[in-house]
Amino acid sequence: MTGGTWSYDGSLDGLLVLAHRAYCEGEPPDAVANALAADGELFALLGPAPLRGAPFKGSSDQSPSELGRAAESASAELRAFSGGLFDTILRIWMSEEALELPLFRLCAIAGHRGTDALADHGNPDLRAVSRASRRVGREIDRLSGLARFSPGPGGLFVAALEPDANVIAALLPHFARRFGSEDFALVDARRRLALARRGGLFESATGEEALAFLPERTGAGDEDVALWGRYFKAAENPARRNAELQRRLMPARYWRYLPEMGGAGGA
Amino acid sequence: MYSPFMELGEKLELLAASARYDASCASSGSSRAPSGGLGAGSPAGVCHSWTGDGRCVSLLKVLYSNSCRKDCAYCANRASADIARASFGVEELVRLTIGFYRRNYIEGLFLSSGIFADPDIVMERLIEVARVLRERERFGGYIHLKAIPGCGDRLLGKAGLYADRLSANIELPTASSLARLAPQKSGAEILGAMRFMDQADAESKEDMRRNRGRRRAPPRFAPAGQSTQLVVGASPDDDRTIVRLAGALYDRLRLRRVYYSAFVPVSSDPRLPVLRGPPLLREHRLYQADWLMRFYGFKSEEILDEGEPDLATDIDPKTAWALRHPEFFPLDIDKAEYSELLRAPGVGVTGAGRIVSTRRAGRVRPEDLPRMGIVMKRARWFLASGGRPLFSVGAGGSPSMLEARRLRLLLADSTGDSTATSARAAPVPQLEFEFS
Repeated sequence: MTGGTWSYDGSLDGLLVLAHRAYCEGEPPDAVANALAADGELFALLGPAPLRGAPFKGSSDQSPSELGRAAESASAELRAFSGGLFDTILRIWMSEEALELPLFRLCAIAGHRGTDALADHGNPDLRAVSRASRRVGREIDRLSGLARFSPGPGGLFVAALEPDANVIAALLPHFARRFGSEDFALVDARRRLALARRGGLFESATGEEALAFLPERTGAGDEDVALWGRYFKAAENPARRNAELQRRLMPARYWRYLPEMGGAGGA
Repeated sequence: MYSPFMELGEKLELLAASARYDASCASSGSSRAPSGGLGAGSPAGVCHSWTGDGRCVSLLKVLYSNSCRKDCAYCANRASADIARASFGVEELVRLTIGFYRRNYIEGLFLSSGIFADPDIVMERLIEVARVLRERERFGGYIHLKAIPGCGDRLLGKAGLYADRLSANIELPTASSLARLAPQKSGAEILGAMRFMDQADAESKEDMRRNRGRRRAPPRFAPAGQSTQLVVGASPDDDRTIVRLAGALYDRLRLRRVYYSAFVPVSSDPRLPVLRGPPLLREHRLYQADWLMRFYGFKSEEILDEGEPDLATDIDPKTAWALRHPEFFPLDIDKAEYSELLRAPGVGVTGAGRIVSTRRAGRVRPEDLPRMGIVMKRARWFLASGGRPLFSVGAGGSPSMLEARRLRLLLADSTGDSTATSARAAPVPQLEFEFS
């Protein structure tokens, strides 16, 4: 199946299977058709690994379970390939940008020329894919620090996010380590997705079910929020005031999460 | 020293404001195993906010107490300062750390203190906070404890078992400046604490190596190592002295970080210089020089020599070095080693890495350099391709422009800082810290 138009369902599993195919065959397609995007649905049903197993729309030629199994085996092989190829594929999926074609071209080059081929920074495909991958990576890094948790239903600590890219599944391992044995949830209010850990078990939700994780109240009257606000003001050294630097390092679009900057603080 | 009648928020404001002169807020470099409770170390560190002065907030940075017996001229919390005093209780600090951590406001706790009692007693209070966090709360987040100068080695050893990082502030660049501005502090005590921590770190690594694979490995001593801080601009010491001191601390005591804190005028003590504001540009240049030592393979003596005691204010230290060494350039992007490329202004660690990796796949084209993260405005004067200097490619210049004085003007930063040099009176010979 080389050249021609490759079609897939817009799922991560579908992307992994086709990326692996390009890698193995050393030949990319001429065009890519994303069935979900064509339907006007944007990746709402399926996230990366933690959500796998949730109801999702399969590709036209494989049943969901077949696709899942194929993606698992493709992942194992792609992971073993150095040069960060597997992580790049995940990030391109999270970016929701139409970069499948340059990604498959890179996979094809990697397949027949090895790791060094992915170091050619003169390659426009690599530049486009790297740019999107870096953007997603930056958002994951930023939200690792700037997500704010508030007490939600049932004592669960919940972070309400509206990320540019579909990144909450990538944030999940970080917060699972942070929270240790405690329960927590991440809600992507924009895509109406939620990932949670309750009683040691991971769960996922979409649509209204996802939004039900959101805390009912905002930070008003919350003692931790008030103490944090006082700490934040006191920690600033007025003799070194540099609001421009603050804004550059912490862009205003993230302030909505931050109670210290007047945002809702995870609620 | 506990202040039971002060409301927690008020105390927090006071003791955070007292701690804001400590520059360190890093939460990186720890390899602590998960505790099973709340919290985990993140090797790369995480910034959770940025204050209005543009500094990253990663840790809850507070003093245990801002009461202090010492009267260091440059310190906002000195004994003679007319400020409100307060002390936390252990449980208050535990409550704040856990509460803030759960909200994802912080990675952990940075705890220092004024010397309100015998150094051993102060150190014991700091250790107790860390002990309760680790043992009772099973807190796995980051803890940075200040090593109180003059406390016993046994306590430092204990602190290192709970803390990810320990730091003893060297305070000033020379022993004579310390004697003049902080006569109650002893350089020997500070360096003694640093040596002890270095030794404990080495022994702990050896223990880990010997016990590798065993079920119950000994706890690692301060896995994120030690750091220090010194005040810049409160004493007449030149930049060369500071850079050499930092170089020695990195090389001989294996410090992870040296922090430079621009002196903020806090009193009218006649021993202090009169400044319009903190010498921020000087501090910035020192951090750039520090970066060259930590990531770019520069030795401290290369950055400044006897003829040049201070870092330039108009250009960064790497550009200054490059202009002093025209014989090193231009570097050919087709052949230069990674370590050589790092010495070219406008080429960073990422850019140098990309040039080398791209060469493995094919030839590096000069027009691709900007997309690799190379800052051509600077780099074009120091790089060549196919034997031709890049500045001669296209219409941008002529070989005569490589003349150092004109090039310096072209490469000068647009910012200036009149406070940067006014911090120092005429340099006087200083007795440096002895590392032998």
